[in-house]
This record gives sequence, structure tokens and C-alpha cells, in this order.
Amino acid sequence: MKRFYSLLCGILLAAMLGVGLVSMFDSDATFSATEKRALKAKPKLSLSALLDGSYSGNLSEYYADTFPMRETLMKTNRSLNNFYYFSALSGKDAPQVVINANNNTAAGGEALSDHQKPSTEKPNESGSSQQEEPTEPTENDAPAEQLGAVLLVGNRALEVPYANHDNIERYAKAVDAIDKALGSSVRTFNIAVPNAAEFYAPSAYRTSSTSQKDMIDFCYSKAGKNVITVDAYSKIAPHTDEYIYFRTDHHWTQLGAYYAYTAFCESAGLKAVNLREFETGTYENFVGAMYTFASEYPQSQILVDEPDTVYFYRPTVETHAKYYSDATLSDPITIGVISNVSEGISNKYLCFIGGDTPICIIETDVDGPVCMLIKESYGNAFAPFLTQHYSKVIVVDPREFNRDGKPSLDLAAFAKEQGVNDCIILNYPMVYNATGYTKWLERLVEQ
Amino acid sequence: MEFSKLFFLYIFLPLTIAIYFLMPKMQWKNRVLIAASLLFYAMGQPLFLLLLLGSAYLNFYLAQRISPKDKGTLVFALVCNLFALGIFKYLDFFLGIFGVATPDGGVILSIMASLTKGVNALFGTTMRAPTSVIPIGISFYTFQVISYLVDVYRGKSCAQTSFSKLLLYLCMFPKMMQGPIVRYEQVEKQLSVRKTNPKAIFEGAVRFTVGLAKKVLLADYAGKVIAGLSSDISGASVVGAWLGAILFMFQLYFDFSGYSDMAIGLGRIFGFRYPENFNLPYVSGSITEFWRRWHMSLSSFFRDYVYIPLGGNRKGKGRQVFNMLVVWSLTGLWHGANWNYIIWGLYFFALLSIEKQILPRLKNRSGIVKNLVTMFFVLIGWVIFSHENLGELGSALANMFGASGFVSAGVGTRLMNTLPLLLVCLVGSTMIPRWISFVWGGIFSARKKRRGDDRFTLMRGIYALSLLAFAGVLLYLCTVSLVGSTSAPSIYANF
Repeated sequence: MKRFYSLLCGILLAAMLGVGLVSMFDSDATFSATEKRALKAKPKLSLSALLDGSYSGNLSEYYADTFPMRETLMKTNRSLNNFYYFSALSGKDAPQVVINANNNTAAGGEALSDHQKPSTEKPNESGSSQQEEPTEPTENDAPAEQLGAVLLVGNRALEVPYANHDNIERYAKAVDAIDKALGSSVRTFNIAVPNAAEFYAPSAYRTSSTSQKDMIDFCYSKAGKNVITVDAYSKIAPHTDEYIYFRTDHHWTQLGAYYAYTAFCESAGLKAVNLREFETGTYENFVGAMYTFASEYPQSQILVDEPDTVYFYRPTVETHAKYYSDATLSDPITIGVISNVSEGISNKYLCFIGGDTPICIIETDVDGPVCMLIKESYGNAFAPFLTQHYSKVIVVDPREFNRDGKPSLDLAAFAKEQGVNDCIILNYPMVYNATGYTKWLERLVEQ
Repeated sequence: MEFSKLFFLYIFLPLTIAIYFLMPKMQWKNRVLIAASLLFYAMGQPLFLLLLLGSAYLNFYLAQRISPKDKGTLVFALVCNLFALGIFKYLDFFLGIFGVATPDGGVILSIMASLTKGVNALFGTTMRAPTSVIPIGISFYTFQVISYLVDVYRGKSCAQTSFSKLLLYLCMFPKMMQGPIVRYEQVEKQLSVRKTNPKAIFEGAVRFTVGLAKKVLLADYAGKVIAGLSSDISGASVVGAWLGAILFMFQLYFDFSGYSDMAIGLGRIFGFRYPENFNLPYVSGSITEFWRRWHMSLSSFFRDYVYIPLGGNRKGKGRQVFNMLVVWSLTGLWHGANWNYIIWGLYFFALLSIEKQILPRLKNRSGIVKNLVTMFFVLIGWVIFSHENLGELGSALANMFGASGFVSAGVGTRLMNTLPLLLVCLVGSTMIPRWISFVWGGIFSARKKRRGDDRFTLMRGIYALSLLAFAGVLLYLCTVSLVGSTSAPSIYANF
């Protein structure tokens, strides 16, 4: 038996050594398509990194991130998760998986940042909620803040916010601060919109501390006296049997945004354009960010099997849209209000004003006032409707300014320079319920 | 570095083993092991390597001067070691007790941060300040040193005359981080002469993969569910709190016993025989039995180096109670510099004291009932253990008994998701795996009929192959899981 056992030991050792050797000499991938993130790069050897232990830590992480056949093993791991996230016996309408969502996932809003390099003509892939992991410590390294949960229910993924009243109040105050900074000549609108969970989640996830209606009401109750609050909720709520939210993505559809637009028009004293007047079109086969977020869970397969379709509504007026990397408005890049994303771009939601860019300015042939929309990506599908009423629509993403080496922006000065008449602040619950985004909102007028 | 890292499994470990077995002489094999162990340590905390070497040399030097007549040197050596442990692990805790304000993160951490800054300024380096100042495995290391010094003093062992052999004993990477606490006398001879055979090496390898699977496939996933529960609204209800507590109970066991299995298995590969550390603790029918089965190398250490030297039960009832109080306070404190660990130790002191009175009367009760009652108290113990913040501990206990409702959103889903894992953990903590392995071995009559009977038979061959396949499957699943997720850091790593 001695020799036989030696043989077995040899086999085991050879297998491990073999994998080790292959892993050392194979070529390493740098990007994971499934997770939509850059893989860890080989750490640079330096005396400091060696002595403080970060080199070996990074080496080990890099090694795990670029392990041979990683994608195949990830797929196997997903099958293995049938055991760890067993749901074969769960009821049809019950969540199959509950995933915690913290501020490093759902509400990050960091850009994969093509717009740092303005030479790219295509819309940048920044609407997704999955972010490239920062290699240097940034504000995103702050302790994870529990924002809510992501549920997989039937063929839908839902992002459920957990009310945090301190955060919501802080958000309402930030909106008020912007209103004050812009002065009395500018009307400020606060549009806090619900997301899909409010209408499609199991009741335990849309009542009490998860009721978005309550969150919005609370937010509006804390609004400053000159801020105009827009009741988008009651315009959206009657249409839940229509296609107003994506199932595989955390965004609303443009139809959902349209109902919010009608609410805005009522508050702003404008006449909403009838839906039938828009020329429409579709982009098929949209598997959204919620799938990426939940892809390690086997239950998410249905999101791929039953993808979404993006329906868009083209403005009836003439539009010219450009985006800029900072408030100096140098190096403009032309973009469509509705861009073509039919090929090569998986995130079809980026068709709306090219996704999240720092500043996007849409000029129209309308003889009207100027408006400024401050938003995260929910605003992208909303912005095209504004072109019907304004000569210029300026879209600002607060996540792109005044932090982590990003350019600075003094919103009040910028608004004055642009002759802004209306300022619309539109956001969805995972944002107005969290501190990260609110902090950036505050900084727009804090200088 | 940790065992449950792909880098360890596919680069560090196979290379170390291959180089080790290529060495013809024991002296060279030992050198390979020392080099590998120092590298292993340096890959976690490079600068503490100096501390480790300095401490090992100091103990080497002092032990040679210890003699049964000279208690002074022993006391001096013990004080040095306990002082180092105290500074790195307990300084802030004790300063806190005396009301001394300490900077955020602790005194040592801020000193280290300033030192790093100073060195960076002086040499133009860009080192990052450390985030943890507890040298890895210092608690295990210190106890092994103590056993060495005391055994030399007691004349049980001779002081080691070769520094490299003492270093090998102290820093051997399989047991460096999380034990078992191997006493010097248990491996003294093996430092110079190790008899090994392919079967023992093979069994060591299988044992290692079983330990790895316990950690990666059970403990880490239990930890994931707990993390999900504890930061979510679903965790606070009765069902959520109990689910979390039960999972923590399993996580701790499979993590820690898995680590011991890996250490023992690796030890066997290199020809060392380390003591067993766990013997199915969750089948215990009493708290006394539980502590005979849980972290055995620690409880026996306290018995032999604290309880008995203090007089044990030979100096009257009052003294015995006092001795137990000391042992359990220390056991608590050993696990961490925080009040909850001390409360946890005293909790077991109280339970054991009560049990001593009533256990004889419970002889005829059913084993299952005794086991369930014991596990209830053990579980409450783990809840105390897992909350360093006493306020949070209070609300965790309150939640278990209904303070935040019976069920909550999502808890049903999480319970359903976790059922298979719970079932495997439950079965895995009982005798059943042992029975299966016993029966499996029996089928192939793999056991030797008489000494020296080592012929190859088809049945034995199939049996050995089945073990290889088993180890291979476990290793594959662990690899899949490790690739799928970055493994959670081990709970016991800071001890």
C-alpha cells in the first residue's frame, strides 16, 4: 500500500502544483464581463508596499481575481448557490432571495467614466449601479450604510429602500439650501419619485418603514417654504398595470417618467404634451443593472431569459444636446437626446441623454425659459420631456462634482451665468434616503 | 496569510510541500519549514516578524537559564511574555478600566501610525499605517511559549539547545495563527526526528481538505447569512435573531474546528502530530462535557498551567471555587480584550458551578433533552461572545425573546434560503459523519487486520481512491466558492 499511497499523494500534489503553475504563467484577464468591473491588477512591488504588508495582500487578491478559468468557475459557483440560496419551495409571490443593498452598491452612481476622456463619441456606460472598485480610498470607502434590500420576486428584481428619516430630512434641507442659493428669481421643484418596489414588492416591503409614500410625504413635509413639491406619486400610482418600471433594471421606463412629467407640468403651470404626439421606438433585449447586481444568485437567470424592452419617446421639438466634463463648458461632445444604443451597448437605458454625464445641455427651438435638472440617472429618462417647454435644458449630475478629484462646481454662479429660471431636483428613493448623494447635493452650493 | 486563500492553496502550499520533500536531510527539511513559516507570517504582518524573531530568541536564551531551583528566571521570562501580550492586546482595555482616555483605535495603533509617518518622512517611503496592531496568533504563541518555559522549569523537557528548532516549534505555519496550542513536550522529539509514511501524509492531506471545506463551504456561508441578517430589518425578529444565533454557533464551530483540522492535517504532512482540538462539542450532554470537547488544547492548558498550580480541588471547596473563577475569567479574557468576553467566561463559571451541584441528580434524564438544554446555554454563551458592545448584546438577547416581534420582512426568505446549509451543519456537528466514515472504511476492510499488514489489495486500493476523490471534490468545491467570493476573514484570526 505504501507505494500506492505515495502515488495518490503525488497525484494530489501534482494537481495543485499544476494549477499553480498554470495560474502563474497564463495571461490574466483585466475585466469581468459578468460582474461589469475591472479585475484587480498585479500590484507593483515596492519597499513600502512590501513592508506594510499591502503588497502580499494585494497579490493574494489579484491572484484570486485572475484565477485560471475564472468565468467558468463563477458559473459553477452560481450553480452551487442553488444550495446556499435554496428557494425551490418558496411561494410564487414571495421573494426568492433578499440581498442587502448598501451605499457601495445601489446608490453609488460612480461613473465608469468615459467622460474623463472626452474623445469617446459613444454614450458612456455610467447609468449602471455596478461600479468599478476604486483602487485608492475614496468617499465610497466610508462604512457601508444599509440602504435597503434587493429582492428577486418572480421575474422582477426590486430595490427596496428602508426609510431613514434623518437622511430624508437632510435631503429636503439640501434641496432647500439650493433653492435659497439660487435666489428668489428661480423656482425650485423637488420631485421625489417612488421606484418599482413601492408597487410590485410583497406588502411587507412597502409598508411601515419601507413605504415610499410615507418617505415622500415626510420629505415634502420638511421642504422649505419656497420649494415647490411635486406629487409625482399619485400620477404614477394609477398606472401600475402599464410598463412603467423595468423588471431587470432599477430604473423607471420612459413611460413612468412621463407620468412624473405630467405631475411636474401641473405644478409648474405648463401644459403636458399628450403621449400620442411623440414619435416612439424601442430597443429590445435590455438586461439591466439589477441582473448584474444579482448575477451570482441562480434565481436571477430569469432576468436574462425574460429581458426588458426600452420604449423611448422622441421630443417633437428640435434639440441639440452636448455634454461637458465640467462647468467651464469646454470640449463639448455631441449626444442625442435619444441616442442609438441598438448595438454594442448592453445598458440600453443609456439611450436617454447618453447616460450620466457631469453636465448635459440641450438647446431647443422652443421660445421659452431655461431650466436646470439636478438628478441621478432617474432624471435621464425625464429630461427629454422638458425640451418641449424650455429653450435650454441643463442637466447636472451632482455625483460628478466637488469630490474625489472631480471638478468643482458653484451651482449658484453657474445657474446665474446660464440664466436659469426653473431648477428641478428629481431623485429616486435609494438616493434621497442616503447620505452619500445628499452630501454632494449640499456641496453644490456650499462654497 | 490565510489557509483559505487561493494563493495559499495553489502557490504557497504545493511549493512548500514539494521543496520540503525534495530535501534529503531532516536538517534541510526543517530549514524549509522555518523559511516557509517566516514567509507565511511576513505575508500578513511583515514588521511583526522582527518582534516574533526577537521574542523567540529571548525565550530561547532565558529557557536555557531556567532550572528547577531558579524560579526567578522563570517568573522573569513569563512576565516578559505576558507583558508583550498585554501591551499589544490588552493595553487599551485596561487603560479604559482605569478611566484613562485613549485615542481612537488605541494607544499602540496611534504610536504605530506616528511611527509609520516618521519612517515615511525620513526615508521617503509610502507605507500605509497598520489597521490592526495585534500580532497574528500572539495569544496562541504566548501560551505555547509559556508551556515551553514551564515544562523546562518543571524538568519535563530540556531547554532546546538549537535556536532553529525552537523557532520551528514556535512559528510553524500550520498552527501559527489559530492553534491548536501545541505544548513543547508534545513535539519535542519531532523537531529532530520525524517518522512518517505515505499513508500518514495522504491522511493529512485529506484531513486538510476536510478542514478547508468546513471553513469555506460551511462557516463562511453561515457568516454571510449572519452578516445579511444583522444589517437588515429581517434580523431583529425572534425568528431572525434565533436564525442568526444558531448560524453563528455553527460558523464558530466549523471555522475554528476546520482551522484545527487544517493545522493537524498539515502537521501530519510534515510529520508532526498535533493534539486534537475538537471532539464534536455540540453533542455534549452537559457544560462540563462541552468544555472537554471544545478547544481542548486551551482548556487543558488552563487546567495544567493555571488551575492545578493554584491548587485545583485539593485545597478545600472555597479555594476550588476561587481557582475556577480565576480560570474562567482568564479564559474569557484570552478570547478578547472586552467586557463581553469576561462576562462570557464568568457565565460558564456560573453554569459549571451550578452544574456541579445538580448534574448527579440528572443521571437518568434522556440524552437528547440534556443535549438540547446544554446547547441552549452554549448558544446564549455565543450570543454574549459575539457582541462586544454590551448595549447591542442586550438588544440581541431581547430580540431573541420577542422584543421586536416574531417575524419580519424577508426573514422567511432567508430561512428558506438557508435550510440546506442549516441541515448540513446540523448533521455535520453530530456523530453521523464519523459513523459514515467508519462504515465506509469497514466495507472495504481498510483497517489493518494485524500489525505490519500492509499489502496492496483491490479493496484497499478502491478505498484509498475514494478518499482521493472525496478530497478532490472538496478542494474543487472550495476553489469554486473561493473564486466566487472573497472568503471572509476568519473569526479567530485576532486571537
